[in-house]
Amino acid sequence: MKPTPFSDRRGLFAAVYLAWWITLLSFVISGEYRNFIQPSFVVFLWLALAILLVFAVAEVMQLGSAKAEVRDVVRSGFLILPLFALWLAYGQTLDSQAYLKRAVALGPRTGTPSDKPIHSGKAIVSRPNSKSEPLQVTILNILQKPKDFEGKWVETEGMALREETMRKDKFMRKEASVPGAFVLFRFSIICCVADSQPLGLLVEGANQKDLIDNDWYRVVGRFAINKDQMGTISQAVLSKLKTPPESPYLYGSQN
Amino acid sequence: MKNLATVFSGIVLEALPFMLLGSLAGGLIEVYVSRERLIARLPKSRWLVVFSAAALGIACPVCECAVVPVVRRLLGKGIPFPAAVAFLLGAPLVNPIVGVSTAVAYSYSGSVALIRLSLGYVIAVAAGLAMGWLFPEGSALISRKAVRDQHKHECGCGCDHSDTDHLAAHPGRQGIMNAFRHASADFLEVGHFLVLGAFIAALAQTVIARQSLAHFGSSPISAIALMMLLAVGLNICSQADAFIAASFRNVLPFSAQMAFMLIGPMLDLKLIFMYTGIFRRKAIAKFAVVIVMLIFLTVCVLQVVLPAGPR
Repeated sequence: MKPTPFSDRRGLFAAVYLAWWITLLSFVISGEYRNFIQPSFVVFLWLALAILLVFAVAEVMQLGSAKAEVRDVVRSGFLILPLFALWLAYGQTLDSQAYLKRAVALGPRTGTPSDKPIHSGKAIVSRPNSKSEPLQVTILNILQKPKDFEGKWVETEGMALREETMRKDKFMRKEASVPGAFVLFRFSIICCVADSQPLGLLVEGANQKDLIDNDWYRVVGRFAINKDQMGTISQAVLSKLKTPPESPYLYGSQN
Repeated sequence: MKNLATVFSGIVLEALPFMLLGSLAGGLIEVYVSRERLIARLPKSRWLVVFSAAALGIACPVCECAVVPVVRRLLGKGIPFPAAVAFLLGAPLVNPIVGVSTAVAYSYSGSVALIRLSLGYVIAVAAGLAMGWLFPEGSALISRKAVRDQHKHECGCGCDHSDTDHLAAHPGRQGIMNAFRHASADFLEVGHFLVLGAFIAALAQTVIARQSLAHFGSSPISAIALMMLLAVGLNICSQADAFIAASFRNVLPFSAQMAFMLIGPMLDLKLIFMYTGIFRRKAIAKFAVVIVMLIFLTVCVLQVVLPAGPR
């Protein structure tokens, strides 16, 4: 049988390195890596690309020195596995199922009552007049300094998690106990999606008729911390985003 | 499935550059650091070498993924086994980057960072000494496979000299190419363990609901045990784990959060698999027991001394 580059141990390893190099390069150039890790980590990815290339060259220079054994094939198989996962997850982000698994408690989680009297999410306040525009903020901005936004009109974006879906999840009883409300959520990343923190706000007063889990929405409403210490946007007006924001994740921590 | 693929990819993508860097450092150590010179520079006292090794991360911060290939090579160069263990456990935890990230995660609390780094240092030293006491023949701990790899030149340099005189045998350009070959061999030896560990960690992240853990918060002991288990399962980088621990601030006691931050960089699923590239399986089991016991006892004392954490 005619030998192939893969029957050569060094050829096999060189092929693994090159497959990684091509995948990594395409993820870096397309910016897709931001769906997995913090953007500032791109420096390390460039470094990884350089090292992978060097390792590939080191292997190519030893071509023909040894035949591939079973353990070499198994090892290479393991190293190729993440490439399939990367392409499978291309263009995807964590969704409401991940939110339900990760969320410990909804809202600012200050742990101490607000200095101001606690507002009910349903408090009636006047809508902003035409001159006072709502504050355009991210959910992370709000949850980092909830007291700064209390009582103010805000405009923010996130994915939807419907009341019905929350009710099906046995751990989300508290949030699901607010009738007619849904959770607007996003994830914040420190290093990679493994450490992503779910950020959610309860949205009240919006028409949920055509709401779809995991679709992106823009919400304008009044922010408050309700009696259960949950960050809430009340009197909300909802509009669906045609495309997700350029960066679906937020980077930083609410702590 | 989508979330599993995303988290798995994220863990691997984050760890890969550091793993490659660690392998490269290991390859350079192999070729350019002679065994005799390294041993001559180490403190002569058996105790002092362990105390120094545990604090090396302050000068050269290395994350847990990068430290494994480096320790593999250092062991081959004759660094005492207890010191290698102290460095392996201390470097990813007792370093300025982890200190800053912990302080930031806990609302710029320097005292939380100081407690974490101090306890991490104490545990690394204690574990190093305990492992040295449990296994006086330290070299017996290195897996046969690792020894064979180091001595039979899996790097493929093709010569029959011992690994102590690489530099003399391969000067200049040939030397650097050999360093790359060694580095590549190291990466291939440990890389697949990273993949396996990352997959199991991603599976745990996708299946376990964190809210279910809140029920264990009523007893500090169960909370500590649970957070240790969680840290082992989640495989979060030591630069980021403080943010996750801090998210449990109002749910679980401070000692449980500290347990999470101490055990993660020392013993998570990914690391357990990667340690098989250095230690024999039986040794890993004892190693794990030593780490778990030391951390558990330490945080139990912390629970008694500082039940609500630093003010």
